[in-house]
Amino acid sequence: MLSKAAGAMIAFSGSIASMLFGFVAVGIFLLLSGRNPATIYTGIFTGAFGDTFCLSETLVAATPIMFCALAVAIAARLGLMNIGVEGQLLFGAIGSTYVALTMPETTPSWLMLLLMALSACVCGALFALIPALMRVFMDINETIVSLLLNYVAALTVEYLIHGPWQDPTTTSWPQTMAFPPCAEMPHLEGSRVHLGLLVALIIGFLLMLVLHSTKFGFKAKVIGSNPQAALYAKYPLKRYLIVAMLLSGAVAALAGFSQVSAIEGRLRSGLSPGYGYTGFLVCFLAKHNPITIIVVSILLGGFLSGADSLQLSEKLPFATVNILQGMIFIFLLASENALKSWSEKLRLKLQAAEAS
Amino acid sequence: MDDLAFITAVAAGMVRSGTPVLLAAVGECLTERSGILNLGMEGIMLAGALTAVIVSYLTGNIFFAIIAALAIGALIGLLHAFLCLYFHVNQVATGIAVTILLSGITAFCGIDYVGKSIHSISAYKVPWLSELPFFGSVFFNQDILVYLSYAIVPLTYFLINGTRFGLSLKAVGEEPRAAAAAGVSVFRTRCIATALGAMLAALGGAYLSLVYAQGWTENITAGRGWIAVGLVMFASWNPWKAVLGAYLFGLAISLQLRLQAAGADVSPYLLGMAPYLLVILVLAVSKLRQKKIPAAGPTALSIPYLPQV
Amino acid sequence: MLGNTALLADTEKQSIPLALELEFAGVSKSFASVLACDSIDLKIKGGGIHALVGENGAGKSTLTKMLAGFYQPTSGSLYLSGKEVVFNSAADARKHGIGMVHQQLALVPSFTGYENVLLGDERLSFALNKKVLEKKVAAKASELGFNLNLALPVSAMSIADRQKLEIFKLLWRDAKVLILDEPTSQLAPLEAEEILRLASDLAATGRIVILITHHLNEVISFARSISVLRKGQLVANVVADELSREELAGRMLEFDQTLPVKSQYVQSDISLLKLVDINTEATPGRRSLKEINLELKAGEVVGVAGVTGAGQIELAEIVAGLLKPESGKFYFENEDLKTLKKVSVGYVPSEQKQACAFELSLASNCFLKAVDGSGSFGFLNQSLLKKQAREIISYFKVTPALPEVSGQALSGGNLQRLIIGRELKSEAKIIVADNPSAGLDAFTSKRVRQEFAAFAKEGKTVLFISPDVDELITVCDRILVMFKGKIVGEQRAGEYDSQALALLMGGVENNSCLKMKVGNA
Repeated sequence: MLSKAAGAMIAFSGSIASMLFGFVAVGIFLLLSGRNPATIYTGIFTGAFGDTFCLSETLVAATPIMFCALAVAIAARLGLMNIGVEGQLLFGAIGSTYVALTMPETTPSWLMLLLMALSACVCGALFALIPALMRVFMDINETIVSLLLNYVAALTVEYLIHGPWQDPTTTSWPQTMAFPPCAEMPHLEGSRVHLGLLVALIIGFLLMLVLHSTKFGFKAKVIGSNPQAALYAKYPLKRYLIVAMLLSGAVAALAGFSQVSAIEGRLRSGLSPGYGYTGFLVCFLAKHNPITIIVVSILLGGFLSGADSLQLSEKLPFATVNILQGMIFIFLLASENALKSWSEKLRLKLQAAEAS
Repeated sequence: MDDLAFITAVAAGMVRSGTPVLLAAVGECLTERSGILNLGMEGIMLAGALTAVIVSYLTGNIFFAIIAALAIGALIGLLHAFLCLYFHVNQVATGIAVTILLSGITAFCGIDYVGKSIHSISAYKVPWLSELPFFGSVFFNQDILVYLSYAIVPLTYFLINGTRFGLSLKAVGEEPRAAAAAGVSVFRTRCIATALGAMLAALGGAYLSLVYAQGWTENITAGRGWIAVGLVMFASWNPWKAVLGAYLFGLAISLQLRLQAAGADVSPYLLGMAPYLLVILVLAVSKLRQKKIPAAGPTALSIPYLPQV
Repeated sequence: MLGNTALLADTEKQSIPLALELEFAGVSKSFASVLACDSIDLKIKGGGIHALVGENGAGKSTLTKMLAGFYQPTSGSLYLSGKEVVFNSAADARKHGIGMVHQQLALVPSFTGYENVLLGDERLSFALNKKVLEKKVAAKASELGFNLNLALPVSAMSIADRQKLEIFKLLWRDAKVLILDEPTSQLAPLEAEEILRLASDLAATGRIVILITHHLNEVISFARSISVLRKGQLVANVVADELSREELAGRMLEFDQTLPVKSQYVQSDISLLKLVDINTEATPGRRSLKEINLELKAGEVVGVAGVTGAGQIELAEIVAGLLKPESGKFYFENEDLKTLKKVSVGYVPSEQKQACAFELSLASNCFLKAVDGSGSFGFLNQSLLKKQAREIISYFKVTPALPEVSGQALSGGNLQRLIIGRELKSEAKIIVADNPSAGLDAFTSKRVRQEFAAFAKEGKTVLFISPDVDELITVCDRILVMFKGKIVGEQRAGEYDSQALALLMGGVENNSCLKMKVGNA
């Protein structure tokens, strides 16, 4: 019998192997497109982890990914596929922008930030409520609804920054006015790393605690594993699904909040280069485990910021990151069951050896 | 512009804007009937669109462009089917992975083709039929791909409901164990259905780039692949109903464009949301109605089939 | 009946050689280190039913699945009419005219009977001409003596008709060897008899019919030859003609695990649960219930007999508090309740996947329902829960006995033990068990019945649902019969009459009619 730790090792080795395979596949692709994968990969690596500045930029990129991945994980634990985190992130940004632009500039910073966060959470949660209600009461696949809502969210941002919220001083730029200083999150001295990272880490550990040692977490796991059994045990299934989606939306919204507050200082288009989708991938790579999510987020944040730095120097299109992510994702999915059947065969062999 | 001309223009635009989604939705109907959920339609449409543009640009031949798009579609469909059927992976996740990958690849490879002029397909008036008042100019003053789509819908319907393959297809989607016991290869049937569906989606993508936009832009589909998947839910796997949904979507797009052109005092971004919200709304309404009479369909949808002995 | 058989034999003579003979020669099959079939030598001739008897895991299904091409023998060979045959797949076996009806029927629910018959038939052209084909199918069905409405979708057919359809499907493909895996396990006695008659008629035409069964009566009244398997070995092979019925029964009885029929009814006055005029409406997958009146008293085991789908699941879910009725009243310990949702009722559903989260650990599955009672402030009391889990696991000797192992590592039988143990050990005063012996070997299912009786003795009550009357009469204090969503009859221990129960299950309601029929039989 394989121990729990060995099982986890095998599961995680799949994640690492699929990342390696992803790099190899994309390397071949880069080679075919006339680029040298070696220089690009070293470029990405040094751009991600080369010095303290690069490292800090990696953490900056990792923060929204972490929020999004944790948000996906909350829903995934109950068997829900919330790919709408991208839209919920944007609505979170909208919610906090509203507070930042309407509250007086003299508001104390802690109150301002708290209100912005609250408003973001409410907006994100409400936006996640749409697919949640449709899933729970009409049995409509939450994936497709939340995917479509991502487009609605992006258009809502566009509408606001081209219309009612556009900065009146520069009509040529689709963006809101800059936030007052009190709406800016505290940063780590001399870098762009901000309070959001700490919040994400706390949420990760809290989530771990809830899943592992509370009744809520236990029931959530049962629901995620077999909703029929949850109904059988008389768990309030619908309430749990809705609460999970609300929480998921709220956590995703915090990513939007931290981006507008700490990084952009205003609402503008291109706020998220697909953090929601990356978060989705990270959650799967980490097998929905909150602590692993933190580690994998930093890794993928590194790719993102590393590739970002190569956009100019190597003329590397940002789409490369998407290719890499897609490749890793596909290898990961394939490896999951391949590993399972492989370890099962190993187990049977060991059993046979024991028996004889 | 007088009212009839406006309505005719909107309706003709409806057919044009609806056709790519129609093709993808009909393809998804076929695929889902076999029990495979292909959320990669968005990516496959992108791949079809870019392939068609590149081949059309390189060869100057529309026919080759379409064949190439179909081939790419079949290839990606088989990849999805292989992942689902051989590795038994979560089909929602695979579809999203395929889309992320293809949106990356198309963006990467398409950079050089943005804004390039290509050979596109011109309209062909169907003799006699195009003379019909209103209907003639809406439905029969289109291009050859639209006419092809008119043929594809009944053909798909016939394939599902009138053939030996269709019988296997439905059985595999509803009760794969029973189908296997009757000697039907679940693997092969699902592979064929997924490849055919993906080919139709790629054709839809090709239509988008060759006819609709007449060129390539990054992320040209703007969610049409997801919309197609949503419409199949609304259509409860009936290609005819999928047509209805696709044209409804086309109408929303066409109306939005015409209103913008006519200088309506509504933000284009708000108008732009309408098609997406419409699909969600239509889905909700149809589900509420279906609740009373649940549609017979692929009950084994997206459940990995593990042969048991 | 006889005339019909003779007629059939005439028409079928050309297609089926009378010398049809099947031979297993030293056939063995092992899985990893387990020997499932140990060099079986067996000859089966066409012309009469051959019964295959043995406990769960004795190797019956492994043996037949090798014949049907699902498994390949590790060693030994198969001979069909003297020629050696090798089946690499089920398709190979099918080509040689071998077909198997599995216990879990393989039909497409939304398809009509016709469509199910035609599905996968490679002789058909690509485009189907439904009218012509349906005529052909109907003609063949009536020729073979099948009385079936093939235009109905399978979901609207009775279980017996589905069973018949499965057999006909094989014959449509010209099967010469039919393997029937427990075809009667879900049927009422009358239906079972019909199926078995049909099977013997088919065998009489020269076909080989292999019947896997648990029921001794079936073997004695319908089989011409019998083999008994135990732990992968053939321990007996008898031809019925050579032995008298009594001798045969004697040989079989040593494999029997039934308890004596319960003969005494003890009246109890303490009412635990009372259902008054319960009605439910039909929903997808659930039928309607009409005017259910039921009182469960402390100390009794109440049986519910009926054909599958007569409303047993719905009744079970009502009592378990999972299904909300349209109208009716509940009294729990004489207290008028609006809903049974809050009442703790143990429930062993007929489908295991309803009661277990396979991916989670055994321990988690043990406290699936008890989780609310443990720990405070929303936190779990893990050590307490683990302790309770160990008790449940050791209670019915669940293997592997490791609380942290995932549910997927358990066989169906072990999972069933875990579920029954969990429900027995819970605080519930009422247990509803829907066909709990399914998937259990004879020894364990006997133990389960004894445990249920002991549970009731503590002043609690068990609602025991089973299609198997023989099982019910050994443990129940009284038996209710359900038919089409209604309770149509009741018998008490001491006055049990299996035949009358069988008629009630088949829907013969009228008392005088019942007496007449019993009299005639």
